[in-house]
Amino acid sequence: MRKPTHRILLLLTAASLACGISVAFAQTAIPGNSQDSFDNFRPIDYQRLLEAALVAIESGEFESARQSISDSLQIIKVNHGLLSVEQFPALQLMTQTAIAQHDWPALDQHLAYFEWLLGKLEPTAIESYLSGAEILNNLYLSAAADSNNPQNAHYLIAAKQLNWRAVTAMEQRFGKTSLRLAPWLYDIVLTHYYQTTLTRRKGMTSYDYKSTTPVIVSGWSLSKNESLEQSYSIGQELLQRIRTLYADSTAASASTDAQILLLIADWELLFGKGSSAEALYRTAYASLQQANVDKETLLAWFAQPLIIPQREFIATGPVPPQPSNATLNLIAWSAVFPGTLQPPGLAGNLPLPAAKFSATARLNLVSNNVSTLSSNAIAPNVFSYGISNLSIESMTPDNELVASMARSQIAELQFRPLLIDATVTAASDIRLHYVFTADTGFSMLTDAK
Amino acid sequence: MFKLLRLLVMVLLVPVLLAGCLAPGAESVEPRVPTDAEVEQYNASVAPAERIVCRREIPVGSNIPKRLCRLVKDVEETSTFHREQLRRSLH
Repeated sequence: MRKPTHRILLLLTAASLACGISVAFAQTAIPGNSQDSFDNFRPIDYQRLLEAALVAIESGEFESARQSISDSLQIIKVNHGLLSVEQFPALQLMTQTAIAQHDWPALDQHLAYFEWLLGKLEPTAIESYLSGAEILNNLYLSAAADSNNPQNAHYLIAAKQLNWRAVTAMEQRFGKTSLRLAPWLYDIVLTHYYQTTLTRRKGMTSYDYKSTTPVIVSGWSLSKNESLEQSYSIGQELLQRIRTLYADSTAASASTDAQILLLIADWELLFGKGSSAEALYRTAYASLQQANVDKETLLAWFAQPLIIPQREFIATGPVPPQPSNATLNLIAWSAVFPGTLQPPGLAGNLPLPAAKFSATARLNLVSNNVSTLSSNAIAPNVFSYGISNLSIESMTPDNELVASMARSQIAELQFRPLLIDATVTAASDIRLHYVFTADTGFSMLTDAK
Repeated sequence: MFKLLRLLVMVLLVPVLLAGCLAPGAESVEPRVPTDAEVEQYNASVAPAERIVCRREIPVGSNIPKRLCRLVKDVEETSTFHREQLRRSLH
């Protein structure tokens, strides 16, 4: 039998060995390209690592960037706790890097971890939860917009579900009449619009239900028309709810109500319900006139071409007017969602490759009041408002493929009708500069260079 | 006088007869079917099997479409049952 002193000696030896191993392990964890060592217990270091990661991403060294971000995450967990919100920027960068690398298993892993972290925060810290939900929502949208990703629809639905959970959390905390709900509800409306652009494609029917879970529910997948009808109905309901939220609040005013009416009218137009859209545009115009809004403001509201749906919820007033001869500058969001502009929250901190392809076009906007004769009755006038006489003035690079792509994508844009003196008016000679996304299918042109 | 009495009996009797047509314990107000937005909000917060799906269906014996909501779990079970029945009848 060993003496007690031997045991103590043995324990001390084991402890010193363990310390030595842990120190050695900590030293090997230093990123390969970084010459400076870091200390897990110095909170400042994680920001330095994130900055280093950004530099690495800019120079295309993704693996090195991922290592730096991973190290920074460990430091944050050690210094701020496993459930700390300080992880958000690092997680955002890590997920964006996975998207840039097209590493879908890693992307799913980071998104699942982000979801888990948010789930832990929800009941206690609503503000932190909401800021995290906003970041995660944008990450889902980025994943959905990547044309190389085979699960675009799945990420789009995940973004929508996250928005709904945020709305539920806000309703529980701030009440169902809080004005803070409005931008979140509008984001859900926008996600439904993005969803319809996918649903309208051939061969994509019923994806919306199937993609919510890995299990396909037999016999209960929605048809294309049902899915479109559902998106329209949800969007309409949510926009009406936003209108009621404002009408019942201290922020109620004629201009706020008109602004929301315009969004509802836009929604009707986007779903081909031109006649009700036209009536709503006129109502919005009339309510502003009744509120004695001056003519210049009315022109700012109604006399400049605006692409719909509006990218973010603004209830405070009209978009600042542009000079009449100004060129409209549009940056397309993704090849997955043609004719859709990039959501404002997606301009993240990841330096993505700049789009190299663009085109400048000229077009007219005209309204069509078409009287259609159906088989048994005369249908009411169908109002529509759209592009005519579209011509491409110039393109970069100068290639017919770019011009053809520009024509087809610009033709999918939808504009809010111009109203002058409460009458829908045509607009002519609008100049538009259209910048394609980096992932638009011009690979053959890139290869030819 | 007799006519008046008969009318009075009819007036009193008709509501009683109509009330008898209702199922026992049934309320006259039908439960409100949730809207699409309410369903979507609910589905975002529950496990996949607990989600509900709503759609317009034309019930047997009627031409009037009705909005029906069902649990995904129940839909799956019904589908499995029907597949099983079909398989049995074919073999």
